[in-house]
Amino acid sequence: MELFSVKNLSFTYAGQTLPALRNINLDILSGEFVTVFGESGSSKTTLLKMLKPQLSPRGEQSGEIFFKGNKISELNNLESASKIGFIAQNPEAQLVTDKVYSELSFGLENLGKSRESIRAEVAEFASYFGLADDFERSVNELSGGEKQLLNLASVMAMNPEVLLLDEPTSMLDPISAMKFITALKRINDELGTTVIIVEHRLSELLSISDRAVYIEDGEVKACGNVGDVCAAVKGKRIEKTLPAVVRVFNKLGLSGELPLTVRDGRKILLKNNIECKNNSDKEINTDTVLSAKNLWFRYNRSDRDVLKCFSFSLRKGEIYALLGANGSGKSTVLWALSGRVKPYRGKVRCSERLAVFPQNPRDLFVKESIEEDFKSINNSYKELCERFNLTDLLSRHPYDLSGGELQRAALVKVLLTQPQILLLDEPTKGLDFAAKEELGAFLREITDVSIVVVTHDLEFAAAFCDRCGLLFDGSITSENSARAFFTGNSFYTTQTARLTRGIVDGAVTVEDIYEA
Amino acid sequence: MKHKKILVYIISFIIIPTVVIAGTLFFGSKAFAYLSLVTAILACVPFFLSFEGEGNTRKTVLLAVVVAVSVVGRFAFAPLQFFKPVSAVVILAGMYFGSEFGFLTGALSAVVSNFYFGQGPWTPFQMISWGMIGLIAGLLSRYLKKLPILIVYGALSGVLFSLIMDIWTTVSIDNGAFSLGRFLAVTATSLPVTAVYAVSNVIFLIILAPFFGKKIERLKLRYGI
Amino acid sequence: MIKTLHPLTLFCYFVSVITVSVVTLNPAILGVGFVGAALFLALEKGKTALKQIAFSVILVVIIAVTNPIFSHNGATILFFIDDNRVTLEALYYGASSGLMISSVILWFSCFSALFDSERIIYLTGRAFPKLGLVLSMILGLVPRLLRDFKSINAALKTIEKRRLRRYLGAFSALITRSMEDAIVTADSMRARGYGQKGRTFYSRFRFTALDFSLIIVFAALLALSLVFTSDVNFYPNFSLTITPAGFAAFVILSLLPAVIKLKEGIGWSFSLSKI
Repeated sequence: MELFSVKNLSFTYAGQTLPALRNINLDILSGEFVTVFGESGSSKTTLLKMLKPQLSPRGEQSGEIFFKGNKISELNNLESASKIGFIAQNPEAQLVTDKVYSELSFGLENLGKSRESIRAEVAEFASYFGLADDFERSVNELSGGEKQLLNLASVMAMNPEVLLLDEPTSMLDPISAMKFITALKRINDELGTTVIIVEHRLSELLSISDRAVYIEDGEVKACGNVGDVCAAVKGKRIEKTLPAVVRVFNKLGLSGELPLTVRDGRKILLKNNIECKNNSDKEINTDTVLSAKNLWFRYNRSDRDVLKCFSFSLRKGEIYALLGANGSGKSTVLWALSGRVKPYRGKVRCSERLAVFPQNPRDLFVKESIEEDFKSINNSYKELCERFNLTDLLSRHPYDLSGGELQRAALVKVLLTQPQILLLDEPTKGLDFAAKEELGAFLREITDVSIVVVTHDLEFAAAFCDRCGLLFDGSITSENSARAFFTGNSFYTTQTARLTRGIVDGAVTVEDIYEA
Repeated sequence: MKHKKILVYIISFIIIPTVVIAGTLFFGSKAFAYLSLVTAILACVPFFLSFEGEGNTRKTVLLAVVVAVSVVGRFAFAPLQFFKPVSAVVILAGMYFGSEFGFLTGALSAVVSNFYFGQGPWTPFQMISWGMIGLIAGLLSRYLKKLPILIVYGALSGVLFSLIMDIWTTVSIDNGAFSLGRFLAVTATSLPVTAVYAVSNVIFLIILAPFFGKKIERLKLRYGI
Repeated sequence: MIKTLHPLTLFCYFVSVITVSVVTLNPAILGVGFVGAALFLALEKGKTALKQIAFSVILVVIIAVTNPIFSHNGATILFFIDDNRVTLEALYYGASSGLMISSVILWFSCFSALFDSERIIYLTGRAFPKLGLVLSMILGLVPRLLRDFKSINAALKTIEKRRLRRYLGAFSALITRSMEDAIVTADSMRARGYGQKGRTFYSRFRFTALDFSLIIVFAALLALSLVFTSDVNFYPNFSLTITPAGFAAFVILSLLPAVIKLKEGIGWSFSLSKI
């Protein structure tokens, strides 16, 4: 049975002339796992919000949406609140209360359930989601990933028939994102809850989806099983978001069923002849601009050491990627290098002007337009804005910019202080593929600045950085040029490297691979 | 809605003063501390009641956010003693979201910040004082949009806040009686603090007011609050 | 044991004991209350309470010593300052008044020590459900905004060197950001059905028979203390009477928490030694 049936839906935002959604026809079956993707600005979020009456934007609508055979506009409010669950991007802003248990019970209170039934249901869900031990904790003690899981659990507590998710993992690190998607999969498998997820990080999602929907400029351009949709976007810009295994397959023009996992991909590659483009590493200047020697640091006297005998040196003009798991102290390294925290042993030597690019680029903007913010530093911003494609956005409020635009503006603001060394903390967090490419290209362009990037994003590091180091247990355990680093690692490496390991040497990104 | 407003004003300007006067006559000056405590708590009730009927979810969340911001301000500027943005935020909240919102911002800021800085018998009085600052800002919002008037109100409310707290201190020591000498002594000791209060109110208002105005307009435009 | 009681029970207790404390200036009654509150606070909070108690004692002394400067009533003249009489009665009066103020402050501290955010939200929420929710939202937001303020401040450090300017900039950025996030929060609330009539209120507290009987006991002790008042007169001559029934009721009332706490402590060490 169709759970959702969208018929000829068009929608135009109030005060705008161009429609955001055009003639959408889409049927979602009960129990399906559907992934929706498309470039930013393609109105995929608008479509998702149209499916949830409480969140539907204001504007002009034609066509109809049916939920279980009834017009969605005629659904009563409590029913649509409980039957259709919605989870948004920002894990923290979605939280309402201060404690885990009150967050879980929030929706049930709204439904007017009795104390006893709330007690029973909350207990059930806390146990199912493994939140029982966190029950009394303050939500602020949870990590980003745990917060998003809590949001999922609080929505699930209302026992919805369908979950709508709007880029739920884009603010999470890869491990937490994987955990979240696993939980979704489990809900879909074990409870039969329908899942419709909009996401731009597709690597883990596509292999578990029943169907995929590709949206371009407010229209459904492809819809069907994952393989067909992936084939349909071949050659488009969006292809870059697809998992490396799909892209390799597409690139080589192989026939047969599209592989979605590394395992399936390797089977196919073994049967074909491929080659790796012979990339030689970039010449790196050997002058050191920033170095740290045997740093030891802990936050409190009674804490354990976060940095243990940490040594590091940055060469002039290079882009260095510092990789490592959550809590391995990557951000602490940045703070120590920038002098924000003082190691209790060891010394940092820095010969040039240094700037830090914060994890959240919003942190850098305090004025009502980005131009005012730039002006507060110096007046030579015009040329940089030209270079970074910001001239048209100067009068905009920083919070009205998209993730990629904000990132660029933040980069300009930092560059206005004329640093020779730039430290970036997780710059790709929350960015879609296009914005990441752009960011990478800009970092490549400013060759007069030496850069350290702290990141979880292996694909980004492989594509844009010169050298990589892995931080583990408080110091750098392996360090090499990017290519050597990723071909040397067997687990902690890019999907392409895992795909081609033992089949062809030295391939790290999809671009490296060619048909023999 | 209209009725509720009238009820609120009746309670705050008629019933409470009546309770105080009648109580003093009945108990004599002996129960002053008791009466003042009860009155301060009672005075908040009509506002709390009327808030229960308020239906706008976004405004509810904004109230929480504005209070949280003002409490965080007390921490954020901790290195600069007595230099606190609370009154300024309360005034702006009253100005832009109405007197009820202003009162609640003030009253809740007092309770919540005392969670961190210590509750005491002064809590209800701080609730009322800050609440009133927000309430009056709401009533005068039309005039306060002019910066010079806003500055005067900011300075005045800083001084008044201190004076009210001083009067309460004096009177509670003498259990209802008012001794001018003691009042002057108390005021003199708190004079530097009062001055910093007034100055910091003015500084925060000058910086935050234009910004806050634009901020609210943006929210109204984008989200229709 | 005390923390297992229902918040309403605890609240009734503090209402009773504070009510008695603020309607009298009888130093005997206030002294008992002071001791009860200080004892409980010390048992509950340990070392950190000692500073607070010391401060309360100093406050009593200050008010007692300064009162004769402002009040010249009383028959027993101790000495003259300029032409003003300094009387023993004024000193007594100051001490009693100081005892009242500092014992009430101490009772409020005991209240704070027992009422964590969950209990406060519960009490508020019972009377004003929406306000209770807002309180819970605020308490969730404060640590988050404080962390954001610190991170904005750190991000601006290399850009803006002037501290006050940086603080103010960070503070206004914090306002902007939190208001933008408020929209997301409001959406998340409406998505989960907030704003309908008939919202219920969930809490983890249970009201037991013990709670019920304790509230009756508190009410009875309160009534006894208020009906059989112990009189005190300061001017012109100091006189103090004690009405046994009322006084005894208040002694029981104010020492109750400390006694329970002590018994509990002994009970724990006893049961531990058994194990």
